[in-house]
Amino acid sequence: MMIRHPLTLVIKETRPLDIRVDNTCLLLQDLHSPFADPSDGWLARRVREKVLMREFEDYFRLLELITPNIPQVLEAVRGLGIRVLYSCLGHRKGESPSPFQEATGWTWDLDGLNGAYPEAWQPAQGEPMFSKPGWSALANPEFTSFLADNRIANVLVMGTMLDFGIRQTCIELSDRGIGSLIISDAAVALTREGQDYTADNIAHGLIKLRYTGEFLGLLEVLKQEGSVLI
Amino acid sequence: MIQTVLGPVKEEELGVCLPHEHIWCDQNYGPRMNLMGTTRDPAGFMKLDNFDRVASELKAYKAAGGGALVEVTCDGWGRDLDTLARLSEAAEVHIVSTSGYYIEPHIPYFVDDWSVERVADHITGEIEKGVGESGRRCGLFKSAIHRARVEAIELKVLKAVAIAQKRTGAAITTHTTGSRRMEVPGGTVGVHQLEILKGEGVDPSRLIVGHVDERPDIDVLSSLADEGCFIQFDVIGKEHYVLDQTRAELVHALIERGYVNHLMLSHDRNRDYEMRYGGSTGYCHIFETFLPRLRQLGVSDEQINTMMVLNPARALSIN
Repeated sequence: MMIRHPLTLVIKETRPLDIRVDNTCLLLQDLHSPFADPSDGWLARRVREKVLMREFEDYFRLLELITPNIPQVLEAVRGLGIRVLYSCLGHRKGESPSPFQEATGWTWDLDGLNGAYPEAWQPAQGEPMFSKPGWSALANPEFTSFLADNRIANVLVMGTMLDFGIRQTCIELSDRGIGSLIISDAAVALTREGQDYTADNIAHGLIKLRYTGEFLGLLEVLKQEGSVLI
Repeated sequence: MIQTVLGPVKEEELGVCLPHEHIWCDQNYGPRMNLMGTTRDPAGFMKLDNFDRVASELKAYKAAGGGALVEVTCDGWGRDLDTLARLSEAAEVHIVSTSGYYIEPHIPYFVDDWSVERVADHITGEIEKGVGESGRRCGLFKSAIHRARVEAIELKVLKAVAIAQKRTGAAITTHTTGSRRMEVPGGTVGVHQLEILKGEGVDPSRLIVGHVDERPDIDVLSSLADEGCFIQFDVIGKEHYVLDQTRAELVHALIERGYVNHLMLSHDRNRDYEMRYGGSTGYCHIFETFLPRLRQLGVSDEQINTMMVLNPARALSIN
């Protein structure tokens, strides 16, 4: 099947992102155990129980491929003093599961085991974790308040569920005039085709993508010059 | 004179020419492939490495009326002028090989260490003296932009190519995929390449702006032609960018605007599945499906001859 993107033919250009330490944050979305632990996470266990391993082969293979890139990006970003945020599907103590969570059955208590992160990208002290009622991080008003209070103009994104959650978050950020850049080999979709299609589709929707190698090069420029235009 | 891998040929001997194709390449040789992302499937990278199969494609092209191809694989991902020479002999088609460099992931590491002038000296030598021990010469330069802007090592290569172009007179063919990132003011990397090359003193008529049909804008293409550049529709058949019928209508409209002397047509074949042995149309796609579309729109045989014979000969001519 051939996928075309005719909208690109009549779009002008993507607004450049002026990345500085004080106007940018890194968002790790849905990188908690249920989606990101390939051995004992909720998804991995459920897939095994239901004998659906073949259906998720691409996902866990892609997850394996992005796994080394996440701590690399995280370390570089933290080293520069850029704020790091976590957002993940589930609910905190005192919150009720959202209608979306009820519908999917993903009623994860983030203060329990389902709120755990793989060792390589554990939140550091002071890095906030926001619960996510649905696909978009912006569905949590505390998250949007955080962006506004800290005058965040750009959100760098990595995580899982590229084709659903990350896509939704980035589009909603764009609608609000906040730029987003996806580190495209530190984000994973459910299938390889989904990965390619979504990355292409998002790019044509005027959201930026950079591979880890390219992104680390840009952070070097930021380090030396105090800002980098992407 | 046009410099092929088997030596110089006269302009009038070139025949029908596809000015942007791959014949022998392997993207997996790229020295910085981490910049292409770790989630990409290496099986999807550009690769043509079966002599007999490629020779059969070239023979089919020859049989359909083809006379020459420009092989735009550069040093850094499998360029092999001896193999190209053997293929040229086997299929009896002229093959022009390319100096300069492809996008950042494929640029050899020595380019980092060398000055712009030293890179220029090196690629000048590939036109004037030959490549390595083969002694076989390239016939044009390539500059490629993968980044959203013309910057860093890709800018360095562009500047080196400008110096070498002025010394040799050979044309510069460009790769402009950066345009597809939707981040280039004005929408096309080609415009920026032209600005930089003009600033370096390059005659715009020696510039072949490639991949203009990945994201074509007729006003931008007209302005490039007004500057004197060649505008190359060179991904014909790759309809995920633009439908071939749209390409045909754009070519027709550009001819109507008076730009026939600036237009060239090619496919940029680079993978097995694009070839006849892979179930597709190979180097014959333009003959078999695109020229009929142009003729149906009223493009004459003389205009087709201009785009496929006269313009490539003029572009590749080194005086």
